[in-house]
Amino acid sequence: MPSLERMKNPEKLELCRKYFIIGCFALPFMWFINFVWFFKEGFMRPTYDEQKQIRKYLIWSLIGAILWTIVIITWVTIFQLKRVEWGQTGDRLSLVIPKGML
Amino acid sequence: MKLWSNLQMVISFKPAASVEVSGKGKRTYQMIYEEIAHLSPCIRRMNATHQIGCSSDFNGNTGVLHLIEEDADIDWLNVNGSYSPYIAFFSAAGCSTVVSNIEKLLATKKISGILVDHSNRTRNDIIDDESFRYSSDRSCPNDNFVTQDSLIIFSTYQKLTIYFKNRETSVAKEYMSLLRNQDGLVIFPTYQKFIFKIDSLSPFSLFNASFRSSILFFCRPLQWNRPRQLLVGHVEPHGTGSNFEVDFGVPVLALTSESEVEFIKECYYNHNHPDDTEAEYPLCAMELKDFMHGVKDTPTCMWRTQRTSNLEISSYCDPIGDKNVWGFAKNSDNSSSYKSVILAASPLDATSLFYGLFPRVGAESVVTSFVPLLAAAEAIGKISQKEKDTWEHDVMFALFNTESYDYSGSSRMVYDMMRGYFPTSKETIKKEEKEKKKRLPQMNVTDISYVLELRQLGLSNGTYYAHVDPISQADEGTKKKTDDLIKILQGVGPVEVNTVPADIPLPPASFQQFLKTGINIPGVVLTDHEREYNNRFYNSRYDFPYDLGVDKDNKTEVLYLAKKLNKVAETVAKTLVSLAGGDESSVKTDVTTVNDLLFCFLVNANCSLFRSLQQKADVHISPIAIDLYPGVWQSDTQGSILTTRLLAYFLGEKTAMNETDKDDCSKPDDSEVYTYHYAIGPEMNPDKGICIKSTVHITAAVSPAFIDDEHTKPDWASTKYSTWTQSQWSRHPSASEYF
Repeated sequence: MPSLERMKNPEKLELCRKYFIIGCFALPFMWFINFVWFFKEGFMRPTYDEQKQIRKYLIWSLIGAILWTIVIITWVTIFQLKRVEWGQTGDRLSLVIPKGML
Repeated sequence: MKLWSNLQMVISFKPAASVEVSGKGKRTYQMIYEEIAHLSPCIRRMNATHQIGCSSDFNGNTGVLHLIEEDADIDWLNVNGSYSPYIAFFSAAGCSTVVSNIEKLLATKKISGILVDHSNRTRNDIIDDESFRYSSDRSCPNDNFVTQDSLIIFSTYQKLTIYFKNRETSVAKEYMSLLRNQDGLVIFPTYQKFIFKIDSLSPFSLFNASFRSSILFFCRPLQWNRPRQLLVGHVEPHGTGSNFEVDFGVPVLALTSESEVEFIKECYYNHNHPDDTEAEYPLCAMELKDFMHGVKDTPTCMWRTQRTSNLEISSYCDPIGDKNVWGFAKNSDNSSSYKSVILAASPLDATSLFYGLFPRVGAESVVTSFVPLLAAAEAIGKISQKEKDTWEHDVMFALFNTESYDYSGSSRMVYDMMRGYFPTSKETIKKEEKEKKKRLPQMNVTDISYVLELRQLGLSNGTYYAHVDPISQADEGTKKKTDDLIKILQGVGPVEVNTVPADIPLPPASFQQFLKTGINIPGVVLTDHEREYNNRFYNSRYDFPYDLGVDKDNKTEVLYLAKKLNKVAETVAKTLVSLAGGDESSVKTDVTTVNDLLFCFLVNANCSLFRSLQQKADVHISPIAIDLYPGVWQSDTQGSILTTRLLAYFLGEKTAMNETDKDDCSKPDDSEVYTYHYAIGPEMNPDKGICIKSTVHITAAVSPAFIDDEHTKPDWASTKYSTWTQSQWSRHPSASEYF
């Protein structure tokens, strides 16, 4: 990971944009990292030209990451609670079936 | 898994002294735990709807040892026991055979495991008590079967339950209107289920013929595996069904070494025994490991087993099954010979609640059934080929395997016959069409002219009983032929054969499966009991030779039982020859053979008869009785392998052959009619070996519910055929004691 301090502002914007776009391919953790990494650049530093756009990418990254987290947590909860009840469907959705239990 | 299980046997039968205690000092584990070497686990089995049997947690179950010597000890545990969980140790075997005691114990919720004392002394005490009966099979063995698609009949203790799969069918409607008016009937409308007490109605007058037949099939109105009168003091000591209906939920292990039992008892009395108050720490505790992979039911675990995942290969359970062994007396490759055969049958397998148990079980349940059959095969095998060629019928000897598990073996043979797969599958025939290979002709159920089945013959007082199927007797022709068969049985001697009253149904037998096709076959099931079983321990852990008087190592002496069974065998052999159209007067069975067979199967398989059938003189055979549990389908058991060789030896054509030429003793490329076995021969001399050429073959004794081929897909939830599977396990079951 290159150090942000040594980068020029347009380069930072480009990098932030790339992270956002990569995150769009079902990679919420990318968005989360994007948000944490550029947080200082986007919200703490004095204003510069590209900051507005960086902020936009960061906010959308955060929203995306949160939505993803909610979806994943909901699914995991449902799956854990209902897997046994679903019977064969539940087994089909499992990668590893535990031995000696349902 | 079988390999593993065999390994387990080897380990657990090592003498206790050789448990790894090296001179260099013990491992920490060994200083804390005292391993119990001689044990036999209750394992988990599954059927279409339930899991049955036992399993521990993944890491084993631990608990404080509590000795149960009388019923009051269970109550003490329930009221006073505060060191929960406990491992209950039944040292008085009578106590552990009562299902209500086990239920009471499990209901305390303070139990994490059960040990059962099955050592010599306790065992013999219990068997000496002649009023004691116990069976882990059901009171109506092999009973939960379906006759018609629309209804399932289930019977348990004094209750008959009828389920309707679809209550909209006309059959269902008709029965329901009949059943509604019955006394003692409980109706569960939502479950489409009827339950009524057997004693409260006489089913015969009520229903039409087909319904009556379904009731008669299900050993109504007689429960075979149950004494007529309940004995005082024994609440339910018979036909408990514990091997087929109970899911214990905790590990249950049987201990077979007297010294280990004493060792555990001593620990209990020194540390745990409550005098006035409960004992204090340190307490004697046990850890039981018996973790099973399969769970819930056969559809679940079979589906999981066949599922392929690229991450890991896991299997959870396997169908229970082995091989049916069968062969023909005429030894002919003339196909017309197979169009009218007499089927001489008996079961070949036994079971008990515990796996790989010592002593071996099945003595009266099956060994006394198939030994006379084998002896009769020997007598018939001695008749000259020329004479046999003049017979009108051929005799087919069939030993059905896995019969304890809802007739797996016989139902498979019948199923294959009905779909044209017996003895060769359609795929094989198609594949070999071009090669013009000669094979045994395909057989159908209609090719069977008569059935003579032997079931439990060891406990007779000199009289034997010829059971017939009352339903097919309604057909004139069948009745006449059955009567002829009985007349021959009664006439040829030397034993006395009685008929049974017409209202007694056909006892549980492989013959049932042939009749279930709806084809009327005249036939007889020959037994030593008229009504309920004489066998006090049918398919249970006490069914070893003790009761039959075979617990001797002295094999030079001819046993009383051998003399008795030899007479039955002679009657059977003569009947078969006479029925086939031959001259029975000179047919003679050999009492030495019967004696040898009993000794080899029940006492020591490393006997001269079995050794003479091996390929080499120095083959290792464990010097113990043969385990007749059918095991899982992938592997053939020692029992079925040896029986195949025996039957081939008795029925086949024997030619002298040097050991060096034994490669010549093999099938020609263009014929599958005969099988060839090379054996070292009775003289155990490599120069005097024999090549046995016979029509003895083996076919799968696996329930039709598991068939998976071009035309048939498996039906793991089948209500028509046996669905029993056995769970797998990866570590051999163990028990250890610690503080």
